Amino acid sequence: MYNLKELNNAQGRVRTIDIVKKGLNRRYRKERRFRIFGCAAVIISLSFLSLLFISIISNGYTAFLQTMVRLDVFLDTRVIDKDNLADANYSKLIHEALLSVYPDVTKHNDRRKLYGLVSTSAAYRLRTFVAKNRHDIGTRIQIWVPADDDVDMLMKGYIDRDTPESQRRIDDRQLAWVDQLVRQGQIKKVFNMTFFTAGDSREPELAGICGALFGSFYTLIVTLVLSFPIGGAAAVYLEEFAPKNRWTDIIEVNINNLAAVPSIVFGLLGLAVFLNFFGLPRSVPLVGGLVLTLMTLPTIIIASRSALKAVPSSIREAGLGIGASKVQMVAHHVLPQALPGMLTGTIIGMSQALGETAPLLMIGMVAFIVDIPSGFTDPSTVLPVQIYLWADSPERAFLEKTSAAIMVLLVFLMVMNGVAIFLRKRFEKRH
Amino acid sequence: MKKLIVTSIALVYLLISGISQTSAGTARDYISIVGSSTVYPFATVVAENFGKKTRFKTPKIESTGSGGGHKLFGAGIGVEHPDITNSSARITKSQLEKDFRNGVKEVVEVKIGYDGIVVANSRQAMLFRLARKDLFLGLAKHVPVPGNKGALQPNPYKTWKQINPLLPDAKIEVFGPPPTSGTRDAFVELAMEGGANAFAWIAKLKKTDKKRYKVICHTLREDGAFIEAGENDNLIVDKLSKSPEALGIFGFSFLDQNTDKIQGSFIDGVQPTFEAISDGSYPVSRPLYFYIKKAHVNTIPGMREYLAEFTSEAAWGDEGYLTTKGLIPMPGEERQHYRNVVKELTPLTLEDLN
Amino acid sequence: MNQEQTTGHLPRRPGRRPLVERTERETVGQTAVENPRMSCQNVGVFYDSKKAISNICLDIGRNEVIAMIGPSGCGKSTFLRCLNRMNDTIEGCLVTGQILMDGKNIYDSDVDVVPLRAQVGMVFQKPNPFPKSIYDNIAYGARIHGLVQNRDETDELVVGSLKRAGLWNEVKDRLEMPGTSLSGGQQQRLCIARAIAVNPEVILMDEPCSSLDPIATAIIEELIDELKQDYTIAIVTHSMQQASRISQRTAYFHQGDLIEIGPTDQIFLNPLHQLTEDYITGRFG
Ligand SMILES: Nc1ncnc2c1ncn2[C@@H]1O[C@H](COP(=O)(O)OP(=O)(O)O)[C@@H](O)[C@H]1O
Ligand SMILES: [Mg+2]
Repeated sequence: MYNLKELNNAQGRVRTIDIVKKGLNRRYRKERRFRIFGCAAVIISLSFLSLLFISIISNGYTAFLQTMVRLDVFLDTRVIDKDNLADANYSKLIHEALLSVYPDVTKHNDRRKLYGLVSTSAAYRLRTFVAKNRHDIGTRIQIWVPADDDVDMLMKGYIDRDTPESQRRIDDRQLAWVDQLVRQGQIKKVFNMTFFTAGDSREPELAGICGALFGSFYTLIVTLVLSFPIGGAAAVYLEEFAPKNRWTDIIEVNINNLAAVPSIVFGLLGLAVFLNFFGLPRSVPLVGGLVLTLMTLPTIIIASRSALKAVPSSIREAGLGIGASKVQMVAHHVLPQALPGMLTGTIIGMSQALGETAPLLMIGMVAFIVDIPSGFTDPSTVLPVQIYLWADSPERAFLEKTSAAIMVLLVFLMVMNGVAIFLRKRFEKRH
Repeated sequence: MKKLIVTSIALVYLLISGISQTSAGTARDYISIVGSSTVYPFATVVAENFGKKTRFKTPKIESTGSGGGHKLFGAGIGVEHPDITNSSARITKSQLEKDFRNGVKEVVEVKIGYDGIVVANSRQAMLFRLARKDLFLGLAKHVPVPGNKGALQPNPYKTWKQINPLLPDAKIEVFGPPPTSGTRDAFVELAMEGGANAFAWIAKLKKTDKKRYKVICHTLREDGAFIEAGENDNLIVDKLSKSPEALGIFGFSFLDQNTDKIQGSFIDGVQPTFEAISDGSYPVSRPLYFYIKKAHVNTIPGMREYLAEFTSEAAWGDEGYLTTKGLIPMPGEERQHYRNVVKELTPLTLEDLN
Repeated sequence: MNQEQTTGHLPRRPGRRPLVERTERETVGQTAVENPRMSCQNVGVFYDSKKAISNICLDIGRNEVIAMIGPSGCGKSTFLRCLNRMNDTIEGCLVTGQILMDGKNIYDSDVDVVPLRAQVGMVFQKPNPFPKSIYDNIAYGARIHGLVQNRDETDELVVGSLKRAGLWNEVKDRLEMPGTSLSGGQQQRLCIARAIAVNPEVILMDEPCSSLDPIATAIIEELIDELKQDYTIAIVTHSMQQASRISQRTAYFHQGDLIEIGPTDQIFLNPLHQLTEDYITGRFG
């Protein structure tokens, strides 16, 4: 501390600027330090984030490719009855096609191994093909069918050829067969369309994210449609209309507490109320949406209230002063100002909802569901549940699917946030 | 104000019950299955094949655990309740009695095969030849004091060699599932109880003081030698390949899928293989079941066809697709027996469970 | 607060009657006017049982500009906000007494504040245009009250109001710009234009020039002078010069009491109350 007067007396006139200059270096050092800390914090969090992304992408990008095997299938009229296409034994045709490539495989056990090179879905593919190309019956056709997940893993380099045979999921015979296929150009990797068009499956090569994607979509639509208006209306009422008294204080405290309640509690509530009391069906997006609405409401209400609080009261006075009723004042002046903030709160809530599995467990949305839901009351899962289920599957090939599903989830999240930012920007521009 | 609250509550009530009316009015057109996470991988494959082969919708399968599944299953008759529950343990008398009380009078039991629980380690480490007694001494929280019958002490063993000189001189470190898991239940029942029975006085307790017996056998070490690694068996496999010293406990199907990374330890002289589990020589294995609500068979479309698919040789036979998923098939006669049960839909009686 | 100060003491003109004592809080001067526009009787305001003003009796005449002056915190704004019930919006604010308008107490329970505020407009201390276009700012009040039926009428009203507020020439080719993009003085004129667009009978202004530079202030003062042809204006100001320039009558408030009311000339040249004289001569402040 400098005593200005003393300094003045001792050394004649000391100018403030000299004192300021003396301390200047220290001040700048402090500032630099702070900036370095800030930068370091940003860099650390960014590098964690990129580490996460890199590991997910490097684990998962192969899931977007699928190994296919080309088979020359003879559509034998003795096997396919033209009048009853559905019941023909297509597996037999596939097996014959494989045997024609390796005529020397005779032993029963070896044949089984041979058949295992292609996915069990090959027969269903052939069935669809025949249904579309009836005139090909009786001729020899070429068809690409998905390889078995073990072959797929081999082609993607996840199986080490150097490990002893007994420890490999693909033995030496199978390796030789696959190598022959490769030499003959009967194996290729294609973009894995199935992953984006199919529902869940226990065969990794057939499993797709589409069912979960739609499930998440329907669930979040229900959540959005319910939680935004209800949360917004509750916030507006509490902030603009409700008298400030003990009751509203209690409500406020409770809403804040609810925001911190573990999400599984909302699942239990949903189970008790929506399933047991109202008798709504299990495992459907409608109930999932209702439960997630309960979960996101506190978040949305709290964010909306602070957005409303941030609107300067001079705007309210201006509105009232010109003779607007309270509702008009709120609707015409306060809400448009608060809407971007309310949207931000909603998107935070929706992002939370998108990532939830725990509350959905209780209402049966953690389930194996193959068919793609086509409405709000069809059984379905959601993206994080699909990730959880795949991560828990023993087949090695599900590992890459898990990472790929995480990528899809992240893209979904980004799209959702993008839409919200777009809407917010439009609102901000309008005013 | 009061009026407003009352009317809004009434409105919400009407709305939701309206929705539930319309959705409940349309009868369920898919099979709803709940239950054990151990049976889940098998039931899902059957369901998927059934969905592909037939014109019916693919059944919905929830992995709720055996107990949770049975609770849902036994809650009553009607489309809001599941049609089938999978179970990694046989139904108990009290469960069946409860079902009866709730109006679920006819329950059909189907055994589908066996599941083995393996103790495995990384291929980079030495193969373990364990006895169930070694497992008990290595993992129980309290173990008998050698030479002092009836006395227990906190588990003092640090390495496997201290327990059995034939075992490697490796630190005791075992990754296993948490108590909520069915694998854990089966492990403590089959391996730990089996190991404890090597001590005659503990085996006797089973008759005289069942509670104490259970505490001794079912309480695992909490000093870091046993590590709960979460429900996800993949995580345990992953951890094993990273720490070659450690052992892990999980279902046979995970061993089957990861033979390049891990090896299953011998238990009482038998290695976990298909054959050993199927013929019953591998000691830590258990039967798997599912239970059918007979009243639903004719109301839910596709029930009979699903049951036919599950019990077909193509599915649960010696070379069926379920074996590629790690199910260990029953002997042929047993399969035939249960195929008949499904055909006739013979309900389970309380006497069957004696 | 009340102590004598030696500075700023103007020489008193000789031959004046003695002033009312400082301790006396009864209103001196002519509170009543003939045919008043609004008439306040024993108005008091409490904020959470803390008294802000009390016992205010005051008439506001037709087509007059009445100024309210006084040290800050004395209750000028509080009183002004009573006149269109803006105090209703403040939690815990209680107004007692009566304010008659057209023979009706505006605080009667059956009085609707919406038409009241359409009748008694307000301009605030800090310019507070809506965050909307200039056009919408003006048109808003007329729209909600249904004063305009179509776009043409609205256009006409907007142009007229802006012209009267002396803002037209500055904004005529940017009516779609947000009102908040204008300068402070322009914003305040926009607020005045917004207030007169609904054609009120009384306009309340709470220190409308306090944040403006002298040129903008002069423009607004000119505007007020013009507006008094058609409107009754009650204005709170902390500038005595402004009060003397624009008002016909002036009311002096002190610590929640109305101390003196009278023609502006008289208040400034020949106050009756010691407190008033202290204030206008700068001995108090
Ligand atoms: N909203 C309010 N809540 C509580 N007290 C207030 C409020 N507004 C004004 N007051 C008090 O009322 C008195 C008069 O305030 P005000 O009318 O704003 O004075 P002026 O406008 O003359 O400066 C002051 O003491 C002030 O503290
Ligand atoms: Mg004021």
